[in-house]
Amino acid sequence: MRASRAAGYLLAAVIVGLAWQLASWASGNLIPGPAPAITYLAGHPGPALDAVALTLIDAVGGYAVAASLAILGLAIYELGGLGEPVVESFREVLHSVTPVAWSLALLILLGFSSRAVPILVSGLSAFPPLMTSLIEGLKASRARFGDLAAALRLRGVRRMAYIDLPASVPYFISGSRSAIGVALIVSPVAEAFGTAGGIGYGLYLFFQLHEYAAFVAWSLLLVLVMIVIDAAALGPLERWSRRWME
Amino acid sequence: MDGVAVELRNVSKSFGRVRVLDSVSLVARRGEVHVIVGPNGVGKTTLLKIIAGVLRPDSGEVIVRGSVALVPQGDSLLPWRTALRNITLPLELSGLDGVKAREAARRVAEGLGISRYLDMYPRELSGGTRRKVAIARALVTNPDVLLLDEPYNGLDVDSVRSLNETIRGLSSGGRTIILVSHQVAEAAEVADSFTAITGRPGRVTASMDVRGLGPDERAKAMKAALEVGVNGA
Repeated sequence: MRASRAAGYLLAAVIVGLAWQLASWASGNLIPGPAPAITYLAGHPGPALDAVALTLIDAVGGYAVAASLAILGLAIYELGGLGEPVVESFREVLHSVTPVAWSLALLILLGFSSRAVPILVSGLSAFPPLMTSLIEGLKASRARFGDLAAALRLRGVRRMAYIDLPASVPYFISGSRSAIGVALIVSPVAEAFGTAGGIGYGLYLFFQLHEYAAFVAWSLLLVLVMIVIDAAALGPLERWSRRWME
Repeated sequence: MDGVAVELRNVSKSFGRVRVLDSVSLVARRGEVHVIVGPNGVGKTTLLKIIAGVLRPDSGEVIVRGSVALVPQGDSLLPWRTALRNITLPLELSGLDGVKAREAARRVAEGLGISRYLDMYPRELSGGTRRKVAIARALVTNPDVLLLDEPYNGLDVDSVRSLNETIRGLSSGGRTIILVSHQVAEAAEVADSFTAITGRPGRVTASMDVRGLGPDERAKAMKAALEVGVNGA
């Protein structure tokens, strides 16, 4: 299984690399191919690592914001009555706002060098998939353990603590995988508009300076960061969490 | 055997516009196994929840002498807790000290012959053992009346036999057991009395004491009572 997964990654990398090289040739080398990008990264490990660290801080911070909001949302949803439509509506609204709008609004509000802007933008964008997953978990828990909760006379916070939160763990982890993915994609958008650094800021800067090899190198860096996090942490964690409810 | 443990008088229940139970009456005596038998969808589970106090009837009277514990239908064990921690759950909720709760759970588990499974998770247990753990969770509060909702679902022959031995043991210890099932042959093995419910809304077609009969005769009596309801004779 592990070998076939590795083979799958390898095959995907070869296909992407070939397509990339073809695109480079088709553009008359205006788009740099994989070799200049990798050479650039190898020649500038320090700035690359700094940018990765900042983007990770933004994405993880954003995920923390999303997770806090989602747990609060779950508690409100659990109340029933108006709680459910309020949380659903809040999720829909946040789901509909583009990260660009969040970025510009928050930059105006907090300043162009504020570290909080990419964190908040990625958090607000990562909240909807996480909340959706948690609501699914809550509904599944109600369907499976509703009779037990009634038999034990468990309601409200006690029901949440003893049944619904633990039953939502696989959904939380699965939603977190999506949410962290969204946070990693969105935080460079917010970084690009500000001046606080990170991969997004680098992308914007290199594009403005016509340093296309550097631009492509940092795009590759972002992809590598996402693949490594998903393969090394989020994927295994999600597979483990499935056993939680067996 | 004397004395009424549970009595329902003309209990009716609707969910919205759908009438589920219509004027159901039954009596379960102390220390007996009373089987509520009927096809799927006639309101047997609703009836059990009314006896447990989880649902309120729209009309009629429910008299329960003593405490009640309900073992819900299906797989109700919490998969993230070991068997032991599933059994201690009601005691944790009542605020009992953890050591005392575990002691009580171990005693109940020993009585049901499941002591060696206590450190295992539900996924590691067979269907029959899971059912016994769920029963142990209900018994740990020492209820006077134990309500079992479709306990035979998904069990093989050996597990049914073992579960029935457990049920018989609990009943001979003086506990009243009300068991809901659509599986006549399995339930007939342990029934002291039964109430047959058929139709939509569910109505009682027969109530009978079958203590003097053998298992086959009990099963025949139950089937005959159900056919009366189905044929409307």
